[in-house]
Order: sequence, then C-alpha cells, then structure tokens
Amino acid sequence: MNILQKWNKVPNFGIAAITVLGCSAQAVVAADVANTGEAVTYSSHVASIINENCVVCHREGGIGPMELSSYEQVRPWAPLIQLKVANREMPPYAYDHDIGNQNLQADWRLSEEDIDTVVAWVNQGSPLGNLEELPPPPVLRGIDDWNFAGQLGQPDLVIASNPIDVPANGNDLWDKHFVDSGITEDRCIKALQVKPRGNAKTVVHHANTYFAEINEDGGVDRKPVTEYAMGKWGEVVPEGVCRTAFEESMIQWDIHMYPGGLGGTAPNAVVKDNVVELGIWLHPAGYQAKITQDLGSYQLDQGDLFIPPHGTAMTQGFHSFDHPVRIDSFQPHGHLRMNAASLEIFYPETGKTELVSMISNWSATWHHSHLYEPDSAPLVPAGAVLVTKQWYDNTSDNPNNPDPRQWVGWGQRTADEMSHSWIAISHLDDETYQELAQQRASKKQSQLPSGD
Amino acid sequence: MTRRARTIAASIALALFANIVILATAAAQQPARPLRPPPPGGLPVIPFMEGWYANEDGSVTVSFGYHNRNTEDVVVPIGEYNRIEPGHLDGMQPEVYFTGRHPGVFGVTIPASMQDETIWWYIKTGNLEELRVPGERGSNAYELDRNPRPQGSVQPLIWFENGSKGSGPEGVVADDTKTIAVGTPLTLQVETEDPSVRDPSNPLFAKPLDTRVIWYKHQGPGEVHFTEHASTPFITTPARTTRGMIPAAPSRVAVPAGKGPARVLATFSEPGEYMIRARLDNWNSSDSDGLDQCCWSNAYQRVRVTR
Repeated sequence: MNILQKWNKVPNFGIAAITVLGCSAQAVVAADVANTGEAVTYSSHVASIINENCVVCHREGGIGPMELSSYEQVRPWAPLIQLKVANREMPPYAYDHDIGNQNLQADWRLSEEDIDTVVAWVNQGSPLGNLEELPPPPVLRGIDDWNFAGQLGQPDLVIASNPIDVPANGNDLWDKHFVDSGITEDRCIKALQVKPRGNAKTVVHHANTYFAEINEDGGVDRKPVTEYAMGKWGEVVPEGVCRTAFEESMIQWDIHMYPGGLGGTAPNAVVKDNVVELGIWLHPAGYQAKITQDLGSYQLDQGDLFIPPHGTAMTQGFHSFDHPVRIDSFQPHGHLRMNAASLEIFYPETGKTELVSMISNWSATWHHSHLYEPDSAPLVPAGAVLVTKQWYDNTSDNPNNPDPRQWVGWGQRTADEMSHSWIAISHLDDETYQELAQQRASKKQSQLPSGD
Repeated sequence: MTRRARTIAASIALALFANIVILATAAAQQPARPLRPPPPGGLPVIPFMEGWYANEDGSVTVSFGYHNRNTEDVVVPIGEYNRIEPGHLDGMQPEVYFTGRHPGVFGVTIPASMQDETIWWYIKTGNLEELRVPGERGSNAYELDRNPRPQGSVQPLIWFENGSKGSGPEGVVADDTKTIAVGTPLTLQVETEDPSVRDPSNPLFAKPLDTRVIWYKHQGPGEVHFTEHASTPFITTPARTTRGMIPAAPSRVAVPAGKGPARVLATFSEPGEYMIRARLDNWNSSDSDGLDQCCWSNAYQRVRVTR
C-alpha cells in the first residue's frame, strides 16, 4: 500500500489506480529479491517504492526538504533514507504495527517487504541497475491540489479564511473570524480537507472550523466542521453515514499560527497573505443515511497537566456514551513534548480492556486522523469506556523540546501542552448496533475455512 | 433526533469526559472526577516562565507566572525561599499565591548589558523541594511580542494618576507609596485605555468591548480585603471559565468600552509594607486570553500600612 493508493482503498471511491497497482506488483518482486540475496537495484526495485511513497512530498515545490524524483537525487541520500525507512520514521505515519486495529484507510506505512528492499539496496551500495527497467514517473496531483481530487473531483464547497500576514517570529497567533458558508440547505458531508496555501503549511499549527451562530447573549454557538493540525490529510465520512453541513450557518475559523514555522521546511520568514481553505465534498441533495456522525474534541479540561523540567508525564482520559457508537477515526493532539498516544476501550461487563490504537512515536508535525475501515471500526456498546492515554517527554532526549528546563502546563501555545483527541463518532441506536455486529459476525463466519 | 436534541446529546457526552494526569497507579474512576482531588495544601507552587520579549533598547523582559494546585492560597515571603537571581533583579515577584493558574503576574527586565545572561526564579513551598525556572532570551518557542493580535487586540494601557503609562506583564509601578492605617479603607485607582482596533463588521465586535481590572494583594504581611467603590462596582456575573483554570477574583471591575478608571477600596489587617496589583485585561476579545500570553497589563501600587 502506498500514499497514491491509500485513498483508492476507500470503498465508496471505487476508483482504481492502474499504474500504482502495477508498481506494487514490482515491489512484491523486489521483496522476494531482498530476501533471497539477489541484486537489488534502483531501476528494478527501489524507484517504484520511492515514487509511490516519497515523491508526493519530496519533489520540486513539495514539503520534503530534498527532492527524490530521480536516481541522481536519491543516491546521495540513500543512507539517510535507509535509516528513516528502517526506523519507520518515513513515510511519516506513526502507528504501531502488530498491535491494535491495523485496518486503516489512508495508511502510509511501508510494508515489511518494501522496507527490506530499501535496506538491502543501500547495503548493496545503492546501485542504479538497468535504466530500461526504470518505472515511468509517477502521476502526481499538483502540489496545491486537493488530496481527494483524484477520487472525488474538486470539492463542492471551498471556504477560504481571510488573509493574514504571519510574522517571522514572536508569539503564537490565533485568528478567529467568521465567513459565510454558502450552505443553503442541510447536506450530508462525504469528505473534508483543510488546506493551508503555499508556505502557510509550515506556520499553521491548527485550523479548526465550526458551524457558528451568534446567540442572544452575543456569544457563539458552534459545532465542529472539521479539525486540521499540521500534516493532516483529511477526513472521509463512511458510506451510509451522514455528517451534516448545516444550512445558514457561518463558518468560524480558529487558526493557530506559529511564527517562523515548524519542521524541516519552516521558512523563518514573514508569510504574506496566509490563507487556509476548507474543502467540503457533499453527498447529493436528498442523500439519506440512518447513521449520524460528528467529530468531537475529547479533551483535558481539568487544567491539571504538568510536566516537570527534565521529566515526563502521562495523561489518561475517560469517556462513555449512553448509547452504542462506532469509532470512525482517532486523532490524538498535543504539542512539542507529546511523544505517544493510545486509544483503548474498557468493557465494564467483562472487566477487559481492548487496545484499539497505539502510536509510540508520535510527532506534532504529523497529525494523522487514523481512519478505521468501516468493517472493523470499533463498535462500542453503551456504557463501555473510551480510554485515551498520552505521554510527554520534557527531557533533552526529546529532539522537539524547545527547553527542557521549563515547567510545562496546559496551554494553546506550541510551547505549552495539550491532551485531547479528535474522534469521529457514528451514533447508533440499539437496532443498528445489533445489525452491524451481526453483519460482522456473519462475515467472520463466512471467512472460516469450510469444515470448521 | 432534531438538531437541537443532537446538540444537547453531544454536549452531555462531552461533559462526561474527563482527562486527568496519572501520577501513580490507575484506579476505577467516575467520569469527571480527578484521580487525586486537589488538596487544601501540601503541593508546591509551580513557577512558570511564560516567555520573553526582545525590547528595542536591547534589553529582554521575561514574563513569569505560577500555578497553585492547592485549594488554599499559599504565602511565601520574598527572601531565601522566594527570590530572583541575580539579586539586583529581585523584588517584583508575589508573596501570595492564589489558587489556580496565574499567567504573567510580573515581569523582569534583563538590561541590555546582560542580555545574554540567564536569570532564575526560585520558590520553595513549605518543606517541599525548591523549584526554579530560568528566564532569558531563549528559545523562539517562548518568544513573545507586543504586536496586534489577528483581531486587533494589543496589551491595554494602564497608569496611575499623573504617572506614565505602562503595558504588558511588567506593567507600571506607581511612583508614590500610599500610607493608610490598619482597618481604614484606602481608595486605589488606575486609569485604563484599550487601544485595540477591531473590525466592527465582525459580529463579535459590533460594539466596543469592555475591559476588566482585577485587584490582587501582591506582597505584604497581612490580609487585604477589597470592597467595591461606588463609582466602579464589582462585576457580579460569573466569570468566563477558561480551560487553563485561570480563576477570577471577586474584585473584578468592568471598564465600559475599554476606557476609563477603575477604583477599589482596600482595607489592610496588619501594619507593614504592601504591594497591590491591578491586572487590566481585554480577554472578552476572541484573540486575547491569559494562556495565549496576550493581552493584559499589570499595575503595582505600594502601600505603607500603619497601626
């Protein structure tokens, strides 16, 4: 599986990427080669892996700090590529293997076979091989295209924030303003993406959007549209589920900017006319779905998050619903000291706890919303308890730590910390819950070998 | 389910959620209850270095705050257990630590001649371990500035009658020391102005925002009781709850449309040297908040209390 192919895996998209599938077949051959000790070359085995998994960012104008579009560009970086790939630091999708739910959409992780191939290639001296065996260049979306454009076309709605200049240094900024949504009737959302334009990618820490109304007291009543944090790809709503785009609401932007930027491509310069766009793909008018979904921020509100200088901390949060739900996605959120997160479900009736997701190498520069495949997304009975855990490292061992001598507490600044998760929840009634559970049981039964 | 019902259901669900720091072992929990309820005392006051400002003259101003996790206030007199080093920069830190998180309570300006040096705030609560934090021209992650926020908020101006205007955590210190007897109310007054320029087409800024002055005892040996001055009564509506656990003292005065005086009556229980802090904030604006490190300003008034 690769980045180009990830979203084609989403069943309701129904689009095949022929060239990508062809490349994957090559990768399988390469894996065999790596395991048998045969010669591994760039042309025959490695180029396809890099094209499919790296070039989308590591190309001219991309967010990767170096280009990896050709052998000449790749060869000098081969040892570093080997290290990053072998340590699963690249592609940047931190999610533990072999524990918890592994059935994810948009899973950027390399297969073991691909990793073995890259490692073997570098160990063999990173040879070019036969140029005639080079795969064709990948067909990539444009740098500023929407991530889902290949599968869903252009968004039905594009809602832009007001432009703002972000200085090269200074205090974090929070830009909260309202724009018209243009939504004239309640509609069901198919997918969402929030996209900072151009250089804004490295200075926009988060960009949350809300359907908002001003209430009689002058306050703001709001419901989340979606959340964006640095590196997030987007959200897809499962088929048969309605997440509502509300009519006649304003959109409230809540954009957190970090002057100077964060990550390898931080400009450390003024970013003029910083704009963030919200793209919404809608189901046709009249689309009916039995299940409703919403996105919530399940967060620390105790103000009791403290990380001592040169120390560590761990938070644990609990939540239960009074009705059955399905967890469609999980996205932990934190800042520079946070380095791990997990989601568990505790079942009071049995006393057992199920680990759903574990991210042992979390980074603030890649906030992935882990989207569970609808057929295996956790079904949670009423009364079961969601347990979110997050870990923090305020020592000098943490390469992201700006100053391990400081006490760190809750705060919105990049230098402060947070402990919450964005979780998309499908709300179920008892009948639907039983129906989905039965479907899964039947499917599992049908997959058993005959005679069992 | 109607949209309103869905909203209510979602609100209830969110309200059930609690997230807590694990310091020892986990145990079965009730939602929204911390593993370890805050005790009345026994926890150390945590000193925070909020950030640093690069000043035009080459000096650096460091903003300090604190968090008192106890449910009771803590007193640590300035001295061996509450000091800034080097010593010539000592003296503006508080002696009373109110419960909760209090950002930017004071500032220390490191002169240009020692701009690359590090200062330290040490504080020791009771018999607990001494804690300390450094302040310096340090990591960019802690750099602060005085520029307008995205919706126009800036640090409001605060001053004493006939005094110079100040802003920011370091604020302004009154030139004079007021004298009053124990038990006799003393009128304290600050002048204020919020120069923030906001877009009136934003529905939240259709009319000018009120600012707020909160009066605190900052230093001194006895109790200080604040009562409202008839000309600027206390705010009686509940304060907006912030997720950062920043409590609002009862001695809150609203400044209509962000311009005008704020007064209070202060009564002292014991003789001695005191310092009162007035914090002026414009946190009614969507781009201004305590833990966002903008925008508020401190003013300090020394008071000598006699028998």
